[in-house]
Amino acid sequence: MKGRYILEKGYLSLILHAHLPYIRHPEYDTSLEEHWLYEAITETYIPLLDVFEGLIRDNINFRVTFSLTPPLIAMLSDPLLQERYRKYLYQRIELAEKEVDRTRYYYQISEVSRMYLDRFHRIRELYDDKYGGNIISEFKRLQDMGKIEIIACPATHGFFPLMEIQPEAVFAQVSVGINIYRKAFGSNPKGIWLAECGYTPVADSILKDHNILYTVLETHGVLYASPRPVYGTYAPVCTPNGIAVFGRDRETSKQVWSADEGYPGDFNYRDFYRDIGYELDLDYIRPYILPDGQRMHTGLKYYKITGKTENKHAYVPEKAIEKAAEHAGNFMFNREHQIKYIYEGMEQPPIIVCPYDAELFGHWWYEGIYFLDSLFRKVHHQQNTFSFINPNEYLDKYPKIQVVKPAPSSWGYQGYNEVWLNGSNDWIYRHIHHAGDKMISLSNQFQYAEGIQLRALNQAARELLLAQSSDWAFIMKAGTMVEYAKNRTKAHISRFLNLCNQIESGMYDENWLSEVEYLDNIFPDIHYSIFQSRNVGKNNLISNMMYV
Amino acid sequence: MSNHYQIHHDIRNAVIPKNYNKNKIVLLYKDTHWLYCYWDITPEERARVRGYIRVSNLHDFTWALKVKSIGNSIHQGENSFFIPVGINADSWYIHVNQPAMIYMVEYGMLSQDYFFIPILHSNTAYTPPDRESTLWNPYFVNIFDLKNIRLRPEEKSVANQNSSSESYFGYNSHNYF
Repeated sequence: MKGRYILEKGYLSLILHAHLPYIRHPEYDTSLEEHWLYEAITETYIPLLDVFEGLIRDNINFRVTFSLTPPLIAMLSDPLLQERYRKYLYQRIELAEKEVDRTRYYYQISEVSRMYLDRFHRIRELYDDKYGGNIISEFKRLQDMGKIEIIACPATHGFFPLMEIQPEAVFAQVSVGINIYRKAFGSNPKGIWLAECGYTPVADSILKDHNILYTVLETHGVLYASPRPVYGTYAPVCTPNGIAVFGRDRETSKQVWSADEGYPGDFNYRDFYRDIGYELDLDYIRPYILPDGQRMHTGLKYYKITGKTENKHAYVPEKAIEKAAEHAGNFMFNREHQIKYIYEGMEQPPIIVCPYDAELFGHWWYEGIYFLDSLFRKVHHQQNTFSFINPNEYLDKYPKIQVVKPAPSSWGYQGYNEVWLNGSNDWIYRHIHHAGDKMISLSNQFQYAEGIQLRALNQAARELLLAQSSDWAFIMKAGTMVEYAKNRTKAHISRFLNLCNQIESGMYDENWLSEVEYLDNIFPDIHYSIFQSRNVGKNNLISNMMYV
Repeated sequence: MSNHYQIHHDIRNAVIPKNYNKNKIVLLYKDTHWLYCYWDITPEERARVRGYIRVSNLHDFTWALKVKSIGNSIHQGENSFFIPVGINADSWYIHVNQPAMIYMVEYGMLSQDYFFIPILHSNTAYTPPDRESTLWNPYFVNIFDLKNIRLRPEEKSVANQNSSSESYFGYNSHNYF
């Protein structure tokens, strides 16, 4: 019955992209932004690891490709954030205990509050007792077992299409990303996740220089490639430099992502926005929100989506889980038919590539975790048309692929650069590009820095990389936490410019430098020479020729 | 957020300059039909360029962008159009009609009879294609055989050199420089 005993008609590659910007703030006792990390750990990363562990225990054959970005790896490994996360978790357990007591006479709500208490206890048990606070090592263990494949990501999620005028900056992003990967997982990455699937031909030879085998692009990045790909997105193509490119499948992304037609909008699923952090009496909830009384999500939500109404009904976990299993069955059924149909027109089994933000599962779509668990189990037990595969394994099986020039593209709204380049955020590029020019110039000028000059140059490289994070432009466009994103951009540029002044004048303020090193401590092993022009060589000088 | 007593770097206090007192123009693509450019120009450079023009003729000139389409795999040759931008602008979104085309822009002074004095020259930017390629010549390789291959520059196509692009403002430039 199992797919592995029968020749599959096709494959499904599930790619989960886990990313958060670097939001470590040692200068504050509490920050709202650090809670983004805590929520993602509690609702997505640990539950996913728990699901994978359960699948292994039950001998379910599954494959997942995971991209963990360098800022996320850095934050998950950071002792300060690990300690703060523990504190957060204990607070959540305390809140859930209070809630179990407060809601004990409320029909159905009491069930939900007990569910949260059990869930938080389980998360604490896994985080403290099983992982010892080190989630990254757990991901490494699963990769070493061959069940998940982890791929690299640019240093700070820099969006390459808007960096292509500075190939040195693209090189630095890739180089740091791969070094962080090697340090965390002890091996070289086979694949790389380009931030926001942002593809520019400038990156092509840089990826080749780092021995990257494959990456993933948005559908039209492959469909609009030249010459036209014979198999569309159902087989990988490769760039002129030999980087294999997998195209995102349009049908599966719509089925999961679409706000109206997608699974997460089902009325039985938990409503993300009705959180007790915004609803309960301020005096009661104050210890679990920000110290200044600013309300925020606590993770305890008692209502289901219900419909387009403000009159929400109580969440029923059993029904929601049942629905997630039903959706997993529907997803599998559709893939079977899709693959059977495509298989007839191909000379090799097709691959359906489904990349999603990891945080969709569990955080935004609470039942997404159950959906994935159920999907893996159903695919293993209930069909033999297709099986899960990692892109790397697919290339091993079917290495003969078509050479094309992929089209510049991204997976953002409208498919290009609009999300990161519009009236709300275009002002940042003047500063980021200026800082990039300065960094390249200083790196070329000071070939063999040492002592405090070396520290200042390395810190300047960190500040520039942090400023290049695609998240700030994204947040400015999204319209929430805009001031924070603006301030982060300004802060990193300002620190960078100050460092430049010190390097150029030779007059260093060591106390100031130490403070900045403490605040922005990402990439402790960075060396500023990654910005030197000699890294990119002549291949990139012809970058625009590649279009013609 | 509450301030930690030991650390003085509050991101809310960060200040950065408005521009960098240099002469540079940068062109980026936004999507298949839109470009974005920003520029910095020093007052000295503006004065230097004004010096080329007779004082009595200065009122005939305005600050402008010259947008040039350079070519792609099908079209060759240069077509261009102007956008008057005024002295206070330092960035502009440019609508272009051709996806899959390489563009560049120049910033300078434009006279009423389209005499253009360029000052700043941008990098090139490519608007991505908005449809499937018309090229159907599939070539397959074994991905693992490409391990040490590097791309070499390609010869440009010379097809259809006389093709013209439609400009946003409906007229082509006459660049005398």
